[in-house]
Amino acid sequence: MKKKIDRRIFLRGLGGAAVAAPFLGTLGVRPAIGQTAASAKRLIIYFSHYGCITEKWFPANSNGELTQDALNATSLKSLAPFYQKLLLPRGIRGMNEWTFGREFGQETDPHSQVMASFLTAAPVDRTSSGQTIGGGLDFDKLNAISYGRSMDHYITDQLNADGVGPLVAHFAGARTDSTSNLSYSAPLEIYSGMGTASQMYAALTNLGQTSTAAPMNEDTYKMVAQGKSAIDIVADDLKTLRAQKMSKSDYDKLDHWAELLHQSTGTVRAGMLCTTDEATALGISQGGGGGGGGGGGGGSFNNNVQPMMDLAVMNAICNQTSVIMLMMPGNTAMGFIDGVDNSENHGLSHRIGNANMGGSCISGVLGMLEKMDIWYAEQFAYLVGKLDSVDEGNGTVLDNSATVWFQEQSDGQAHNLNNMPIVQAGSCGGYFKTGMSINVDDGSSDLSSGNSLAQCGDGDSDIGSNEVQSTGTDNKYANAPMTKYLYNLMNALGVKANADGFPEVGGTEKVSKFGWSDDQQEFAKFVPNSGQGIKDEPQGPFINPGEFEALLA
Amino acid sequence: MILASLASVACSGETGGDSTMNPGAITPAASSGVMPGTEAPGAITPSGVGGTNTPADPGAQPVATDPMTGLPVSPTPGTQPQGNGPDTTNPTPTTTDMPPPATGTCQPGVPITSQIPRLTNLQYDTVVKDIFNVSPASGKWSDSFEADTVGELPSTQWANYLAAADKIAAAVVATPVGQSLTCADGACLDAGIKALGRQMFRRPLTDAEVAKFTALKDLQPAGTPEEIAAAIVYSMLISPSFLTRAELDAPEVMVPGTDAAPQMAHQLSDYEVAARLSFMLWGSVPDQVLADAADAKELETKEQIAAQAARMVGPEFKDRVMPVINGAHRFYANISDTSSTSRWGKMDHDTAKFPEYLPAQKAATMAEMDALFADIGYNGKFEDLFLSNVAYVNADTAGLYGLNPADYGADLTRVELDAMARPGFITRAAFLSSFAHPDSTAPILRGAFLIRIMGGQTGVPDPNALKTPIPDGTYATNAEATKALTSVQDSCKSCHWTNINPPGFVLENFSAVGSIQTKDPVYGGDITTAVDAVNFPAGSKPINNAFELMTEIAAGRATKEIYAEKYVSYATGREANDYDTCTAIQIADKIEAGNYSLASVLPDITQADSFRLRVAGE
Repeated sequence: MKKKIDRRIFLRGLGGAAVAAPFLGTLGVRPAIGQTAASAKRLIIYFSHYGCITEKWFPANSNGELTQDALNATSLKSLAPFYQKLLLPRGIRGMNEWTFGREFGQETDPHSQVMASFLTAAPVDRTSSGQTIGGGLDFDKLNAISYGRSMDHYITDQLNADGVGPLVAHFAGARTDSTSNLSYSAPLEIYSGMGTASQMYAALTNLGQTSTAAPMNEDTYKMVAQGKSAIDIVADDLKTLRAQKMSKSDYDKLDHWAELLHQSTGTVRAGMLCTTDEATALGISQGGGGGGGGGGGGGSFNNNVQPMMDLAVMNAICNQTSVIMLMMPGNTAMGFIDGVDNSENHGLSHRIGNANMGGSCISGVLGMLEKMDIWYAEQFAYLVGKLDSVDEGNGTVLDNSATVWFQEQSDGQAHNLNNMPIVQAGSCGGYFKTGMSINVDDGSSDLSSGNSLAQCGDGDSDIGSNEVQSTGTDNKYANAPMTKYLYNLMNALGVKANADGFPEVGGTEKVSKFGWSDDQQEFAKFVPNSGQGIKDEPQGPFINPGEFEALLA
Repeated sequence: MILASLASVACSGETGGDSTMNPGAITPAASSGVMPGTEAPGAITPSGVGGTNTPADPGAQPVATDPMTGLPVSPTPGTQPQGNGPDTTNPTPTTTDMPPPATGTCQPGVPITSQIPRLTNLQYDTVVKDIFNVSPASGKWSDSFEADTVGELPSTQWANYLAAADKIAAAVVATPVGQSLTCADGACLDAGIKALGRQMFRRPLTDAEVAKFTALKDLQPAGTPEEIAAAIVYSMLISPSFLTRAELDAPEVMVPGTDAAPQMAHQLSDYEVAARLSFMLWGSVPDQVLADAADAKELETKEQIAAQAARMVGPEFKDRVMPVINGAHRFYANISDTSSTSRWGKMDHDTAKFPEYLPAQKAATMAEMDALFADIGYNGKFEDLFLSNVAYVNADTAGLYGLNPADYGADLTRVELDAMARPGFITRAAFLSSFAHPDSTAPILRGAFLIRIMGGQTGVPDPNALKTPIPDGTYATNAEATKALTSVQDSCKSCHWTNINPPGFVLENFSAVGSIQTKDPVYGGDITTAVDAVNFPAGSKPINNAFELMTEIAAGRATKEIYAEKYVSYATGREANDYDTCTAIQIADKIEAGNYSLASVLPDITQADSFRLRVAGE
């Protein structure tokens, strides 16, 4: 099944801001008159590393209706306005957890093996360039690489035209290492994507060439009146106030407000956006700001996030691809957040400021981690808000998409993968329930919210090496395999499977299996091939095929 | 700034904010040796509250925080209390651009204020309700808004304004206001626009503004009358002249300044004075009478303003002013659902140890505080805050006061208690249970609260103090254990024993849930409330019971000044500062003189020069 990508989409009043500035604040989009085709569905993945302070992140009720109050009490409070469009799948265990005891996965590297298996549901190999530690033990930290192909490519195989792959964008510059990437175009082949707004822009306009024939569309009165005309009135009002003698502080506020008008329905009226000419007319240039750092990791990347999200939204509304992946960086300082010191985020997630396991707690580290969680949530809320501001069909682009915030782990110090913090926005065209937390493990409403606060609290100055996993959720709980949620997502988008349930072009069945195995114990048994390529390994067992029925609308 | 003039010593195990909010902040005895239900002393950490009147370099000034209120005790230019004001009825201080640091003395003159303060969320909701009489199902349009802030308009909040305006405009169309904008006749539409604009912008629209709104009917494609009406309402709702309380250019006049150096200030227009009045007293736009007074230029003298203010707090408008009065008292006591520095209403208790405790008491006792503050704030006098025998109880809370729960229903009922046993808001269950541990009283917390409102020493504890275990020993009461605990370090003993512990010990006959106790539930000894000396700002005195303590607190000059200062800060929407200290002192003088109704506080605040004048920053 191939998706049409030349669907005509018309924009009203797009502000003429450069890439560096947000410009999609209240952008309204509607299909062309007479268009009756079902709205396209998309998967938009927002990814951050090192888990969260779980007790602060999860709303209290693990199985039931979400409320604004419940969200407001958590690090997800910025998402509270969207509570009716959110789904929190609870009780899920990610694939291939690293532990000292090797209970739930392989033992190559706590991060890269998780990343490599995250969307591939496949075990990992050790590359030949890894570290060798202690007595010659081959412990290839940072170099585990997946034996599998990731879900995003299976989706784009079926839903994108002409071999177009997923859009993978790294906010702090493209990274090619296995600790930073989820996407594998083929076994052992990392698909690292792009790392600047300029690259995203270029990809957008190039891909948009097929859509140039779209005609301008007639606006309604409301679009005109509450679009450009109302914004003009606001602009004039600001100008009148600006003419008054005021303090610099007040002038700055007025100037900032005027800038925000570019987010709103602005001064440029556009038809089809996905062409170079029209993007140029809108003031979006390939050399525009917000390009993002090159190598990443060396500086503050926060200024890149929202411009790149804007471009991702443009990509979505222009139906450039069915999968967009937006990657927050690891091993990166986040001192731009008030109250967070400039240690890199991996070390902070260990509570001690470095990659060791156990050591002296950084003073106030739990508060810093919570602030980082809140910031991540705010960025996700920004993305969600943008998608929800764009009308499409009978709903919004958000409604027609599954926009999912995945995190690498549950707790960053314990590195545990049970009780994964996942939040989805949008029902993907009505496929999923929304406005709910749903515990797919045992249906209980009082599932543990974890133990991230168990170490380095007030008066607790260090973490013993035997305590590093105490901040995770008890392994007895929240163990439903992530693979089943991946099936949900693929089915929601319309991916088809072969008779065995694996996704396959030309298939007719629902996806009920994916990857190498859904059995964590099997991963623990899997012996890497130490960079020698894929072994002749038989397909692993599937003990729990089929999607999570409880998540379905 | 009154607090800054007081002695500043920090020493307490439980006077801090976040960490002390969390009962878990005290390490369980099993792991640390800290005995349950006790507090720990700590090393002295200077709070940063200056004891001098010397202005400091704003850039170098540490922002000290009052552990009780969470507010900076020394204002920092360009900042304001953030998130510490009352949560539901709070026109939280919003004005910025304060002058260089406060020094704790009355400085004649007018503070620098922003000319474009944005409406608070509460004001937004109130204004929309007053003008349009439309409400969302949740009751508040601002439910999805960002928290009140000053400074630049956040992009998310701008989006929120746009979204709310769209919904409000759609709802307004069917109302009389909306219908007034649907007439096809140009003159009729002009009149509707002018009338609505006069209310929303709190001034007459200019001809140019009227023309812009009118032009919305001529757009193509053409809109229906209802669509045009909605577009007009939408456009006004997102206009800065609506969303800010703009104060424009005005002639300058000379006002007294420091060191005989006159200060130049702008005279507010009658419209701007009317808006200040209505937003301060009602959190909303002027009514017709006030608008007419502005049109007639009858808001230019203190007397004219006083007359309007007196009218606006009169019985006819009690419901409109009550949210502000309640908000001011919540601000005074630092009652906040959202501030991490507020302890109020957040403490659960051990039902095994306190069988009379019910979780529902939290909400009921907090509602009692609102009812009590409303009663005293509108009908009462200052001393009533500390000595009133009025309580508000329901079936869940009556037992805490020794009343029969069967006599009461779910709603609060006004009752009168034994004034000697239950004087004022401090002896109500909300305070007593909030400033307590889950399983015992917390005399340090109670004492720290009291010494601040009576103008005593202030400070913040060393965080490590919270982990200090109680020394081994045999104790009969929590007070004894607390004394031992606060003796661990000499540096702490001097403060705790002298200042914090004694007033806390006086309240030990009130249990951790607010009932009367005669035996210590943790240690089993008999409770005594008599202490040799409570260190009041005016001097030390022996105190035998809560009534004596509250009587002394109510009589304290500093207590009155602190109350007035908080009230002024809340009403004006700006941090306490030296200019406003003059107003606070004048109100404290009136309280001191006796027979002063607290309903007069707001009208008296309008009599300050700074109410009619403004000074712009550079």
